[in-house]
Amino acid sequence: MQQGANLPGLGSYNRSVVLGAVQISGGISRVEIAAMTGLTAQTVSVIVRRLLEEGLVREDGSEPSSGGKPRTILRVAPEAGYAVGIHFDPGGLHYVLADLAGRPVRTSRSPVRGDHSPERLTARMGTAVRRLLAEAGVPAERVLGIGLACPGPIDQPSGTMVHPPRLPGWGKVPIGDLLRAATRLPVTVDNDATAAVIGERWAGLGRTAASLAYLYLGTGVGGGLLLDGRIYRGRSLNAGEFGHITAVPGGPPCRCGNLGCVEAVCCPDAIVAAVHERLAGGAGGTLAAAFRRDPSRVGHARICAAAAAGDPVAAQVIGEVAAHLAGAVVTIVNVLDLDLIVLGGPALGPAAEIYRSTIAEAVASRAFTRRLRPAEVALSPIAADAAAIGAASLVFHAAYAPDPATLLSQGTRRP
Amino acid sequence: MTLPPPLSGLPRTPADITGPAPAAPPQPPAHPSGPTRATATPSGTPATPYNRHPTTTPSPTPTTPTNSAQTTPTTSPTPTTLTSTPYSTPATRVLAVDIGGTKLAVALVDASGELLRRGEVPTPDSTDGPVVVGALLELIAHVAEGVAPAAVGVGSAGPIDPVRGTVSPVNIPAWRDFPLLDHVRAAVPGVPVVLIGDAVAAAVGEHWRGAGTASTALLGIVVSTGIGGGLVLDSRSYPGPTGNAGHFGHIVADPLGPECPCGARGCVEAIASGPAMTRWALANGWRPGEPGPSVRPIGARELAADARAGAPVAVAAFERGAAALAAGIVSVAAICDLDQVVVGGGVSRSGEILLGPLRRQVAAQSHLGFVRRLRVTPAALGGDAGLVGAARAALSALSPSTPPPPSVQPVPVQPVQPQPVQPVQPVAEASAGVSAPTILPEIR
Repeated sequence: MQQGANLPGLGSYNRSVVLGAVQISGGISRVEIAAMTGLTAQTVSVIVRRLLEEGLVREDGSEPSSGGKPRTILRVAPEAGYAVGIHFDPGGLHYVLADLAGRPVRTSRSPVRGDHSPERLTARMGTAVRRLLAEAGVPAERVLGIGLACPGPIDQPSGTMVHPPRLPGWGKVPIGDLLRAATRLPVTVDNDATAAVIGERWAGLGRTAASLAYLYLGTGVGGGLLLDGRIYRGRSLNAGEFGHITAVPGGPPCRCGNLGCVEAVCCPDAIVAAVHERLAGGAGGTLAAAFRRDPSRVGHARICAAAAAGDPVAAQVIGEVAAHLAGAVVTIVNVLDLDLIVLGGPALGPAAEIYRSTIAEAVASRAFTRRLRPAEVALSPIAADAAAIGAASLVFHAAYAPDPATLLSQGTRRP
Repeated sequence: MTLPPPLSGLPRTPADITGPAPAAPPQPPAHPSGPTRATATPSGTPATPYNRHPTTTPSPTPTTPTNSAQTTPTTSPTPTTLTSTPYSTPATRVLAVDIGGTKLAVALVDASGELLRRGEVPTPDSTDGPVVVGALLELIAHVAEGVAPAAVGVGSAGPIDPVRGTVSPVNIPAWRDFPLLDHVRAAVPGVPVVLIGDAVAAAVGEHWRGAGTASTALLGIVVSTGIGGGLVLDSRSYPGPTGNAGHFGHIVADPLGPECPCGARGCVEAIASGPAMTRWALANGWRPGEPGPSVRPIGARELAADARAGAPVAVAAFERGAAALAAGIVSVAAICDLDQVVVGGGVSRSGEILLGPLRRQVAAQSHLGFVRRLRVTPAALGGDAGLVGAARAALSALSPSTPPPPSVQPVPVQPVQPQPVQPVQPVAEASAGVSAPTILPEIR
């Protein structure tokens, strides 16, 4: 869904660049936009006038300038447009209504029952979206669209889920079309990790970093990339498969078919298996008693909490997993020379700080560019909601953010 | 991944592993210099060390200018009309510079990437920064004589700092935070001068005119004394925020592997570089081919010859190197969703001895569908890839609002068929016709 077709050629591209500059800055003058975008002052002025007329941007106070008249500050008008983000995980559904500034206005959650067909599930999503809008008092015509974040693999352009591993029997599901039929709103589908990195770009830490990697810890390990201020998807839209970097050569088999992938040694199932193995071998600590009564009661969430509280067995296993992740992150930083690594996803849990500190230390001591400029490692401030907010951001991203395809298709038409 | 023979018992001499130095020939296995640096001895060049001072000594080789040892152009190209928004046209000429530890190369390149003139000199073996830059500026003056290049692209061994315009090539100890671009700007005043890493330049060159013209997400790796890498993502070069992206050589291929001077263990470079493979082979019983004690240093070239002849340890050394390269390639492919890897550099000239096992190992380690489609191909431009890529960077600087070729359309400036770049033209030959601009071929 690339909006702005009524403004042909570079006009729409420049417009999205200007709006993006306003959105990301949180408050910016026309002069600063010109400096930031490389557009002429006159072009910026014309585009801003149009955005003001449409109500997407508003003038909000002024700041003194070095001589001359004070500069007027421009901000996006948050209530000018809304988007609904849905994070569809086999473990649950998470809805966010976000405003044009990327801020969540209202959220809701519901479980997924395994017996749902795609049709019934999307119908239920439609009901939930209508309820969300009614509760927030936002009319449907102010909603620019729905962003749906799904577990991969997906075919992004057609909005189709392709044999999701944890939804047996789903095959090729045109979930975008189904949801569009259920809601009569434009739908953009993306995978959950890419959605999370877009969300980070619009509403989280990515506002100030030009190049970042988002390491997403969920049922598996995924990720997304923002390179030079643009979402990077790769040749087949599968970039950011950080879970399939080799962590342990010749290690345990991964579901992808390779051995010793990051995902095979770092996913929650692997953590649980490693802790159970040690407890079965006689290790002590705060989890031993529960494990003796019923091993199934020592699950991933409990292990993370125990590790954060200092339980030796849990802390050791999480520490080892964090070290494997750290190795992968050093590789990512070496390959892409990044400003920032953002950690997010539901599997971080209470152990998030263990992961962050272990990875930060490895990047600071082992990454090749560490002496030029160390890459920062940070926890996502919107971690719990990252994919859902990111899904909402997909709508804004598709509608307004600079799309390299647009730029490229126009660039060669230069006279 | 299984690395063939055992990894233990490797000699660990960090001194003879160098940083990325694409065109450098293999190093002798035991280099006398201490651990502080690994030099790029111009082995394979004349026996006499290249050590002249440009202002006093006449040029010892025919590839250097015969007169005017000044570091400024004799016929100063005065770019009279540099408009505020310079675009490249078919008639545009840019200057491409390739800085390596072994050689300095400069070429005059047209807008289609054709090398019109080319010259190179061995990198002066001097610890004196001005001496090294003097040799470079002399070469630039010679190649640019009589023409006014519209921009200059400099590809340099790293680390580099494109923002400040400084370079600290591992193999050129005379330059540490050396303000290279200031010198180049003074020599070619009034035109844009851009700096990129040498491996990025090589990747861009191969993508533009070499083996990777059909790719939109390309990793170019240079396997030589060190191992470097450069990325082309979404059909445009990705140098990264500090200009040092693509650091392929320091991906950890085996966490229990040999120590690497960078501080990690089992880096790709510590296993698969020319010196690393040679060292491993020697430690595992390889006896370089007879007859007699060779005068030349034993290196990857000899190792490749013996592997071709079927020597088991030599074959195993390449298998082991290929496995480490493959581990790195598969990881980068998972991160960046690549469609092609182009393998260049001195060691890659051993051809199928390296590429055969490499393709096999990449296939064996690739399980994700999109990684399995990855193509591994040899470089097509040889030692000129860096010059072609630097020229591309220079052209890009001329038209900042014109993006690189889009993925969905053919490369706009030239036919996409890989063409061999015209034969290397020594400066001495080029200079014979330098005064007559008509030597420059017309653009179609």
